[in-house]
Amino acid sequence: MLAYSRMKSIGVQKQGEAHRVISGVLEDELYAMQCEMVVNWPELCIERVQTRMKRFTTKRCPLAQQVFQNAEGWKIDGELEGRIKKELGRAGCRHMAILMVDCCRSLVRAELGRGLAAALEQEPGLNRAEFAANFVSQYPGLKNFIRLK
Amino acid sequence: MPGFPCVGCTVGCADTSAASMPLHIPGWLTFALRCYTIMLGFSSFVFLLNPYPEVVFSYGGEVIVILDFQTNNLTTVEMVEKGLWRIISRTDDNLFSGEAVLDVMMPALDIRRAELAIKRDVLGLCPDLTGTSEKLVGIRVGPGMTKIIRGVLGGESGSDRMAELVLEAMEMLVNGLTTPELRKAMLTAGESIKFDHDGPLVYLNDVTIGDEHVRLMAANPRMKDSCVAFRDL
Repeated sequence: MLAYSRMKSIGVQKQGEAHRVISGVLEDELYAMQCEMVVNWPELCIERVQTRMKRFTTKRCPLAQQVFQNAEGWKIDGELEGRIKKELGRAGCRHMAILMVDCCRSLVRAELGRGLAAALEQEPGLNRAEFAANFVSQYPGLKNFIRLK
Repeated sequence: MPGFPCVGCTVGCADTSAASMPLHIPGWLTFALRCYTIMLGFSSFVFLLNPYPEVVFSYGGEVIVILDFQTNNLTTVEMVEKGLWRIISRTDDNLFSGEAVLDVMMPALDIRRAELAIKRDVLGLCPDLTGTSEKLVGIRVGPGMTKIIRGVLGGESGSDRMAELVLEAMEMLVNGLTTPELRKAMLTAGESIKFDHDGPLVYLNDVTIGDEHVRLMAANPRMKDSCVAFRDL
């Protein structure tokens, strides 16, 4: 019988040319939470953050919800992971911080995936690794963040 | 109803052509149902003809596209033999799919067996990890594991995604080992968290760990100031 199980699911969608909406949920025996964000693309700026602690272990945990709104205005770059974990995770919730990082990473991968799908329609024999390298070169700040392999 | 004869009824209606029907279905209702069926059929037909199935709604000239990228992660922790834990961690998104299986032995929490599998790599960037899983054997779940796993599995010649997957598996084992203690703390000295105001309509848990236990946990140097629950205590 399972002793523990954690599920994380993240979805990314495009809303107009300049906005992306990301929704992430985490659920396990101890915690349940959700993180929703609006990010401006290609500015890579986090415009809106909404988090909710749904299952938690201490009565202070829901206080973390306010902390994560501090990410509004932050830019997605190579420093973001450390910043979210240190500034928001420690002041708020470590699990939510990881979920938020995963949301941002999924957003970048979604952009790459969308671009790749469109490019493959034009050129089915496209070198995918080269396409990925070109994508990363357009956003040098994401090189150490995206983790493609 | 004038103009819309009844289909049939048993309640004294003038139309007795289908008197065996147990219910009175007035003509106007039949007419409305027929109109609804025709509209439903027409909309289904339009939907089937839609050349862009991902486009479900158009507003103000701008096409609104539904979810176009998903990441799903699932990690499970199970005791397969006395003292032997098996943790399976899987990740799946549009570009990549991978799985890590770890067997970890109590009480040292050292990895006894590891299996790594890359099931889909759309970009073709992941290196061959054959033989790498053996390097994980002997590594212990505990302090320092993040640096060790990233060193063994990640980096330029490795796979950062698989390294993160293995770390996720190891962290979930820690959570799995902690859960019984937390459950006990909630059952024995839990406190109700139902707020008088602005609470949710449905509480997923209505009891949390009591203050005394929280202070005990916050006294652990690894937990102290690690999150809002253990700050300034």
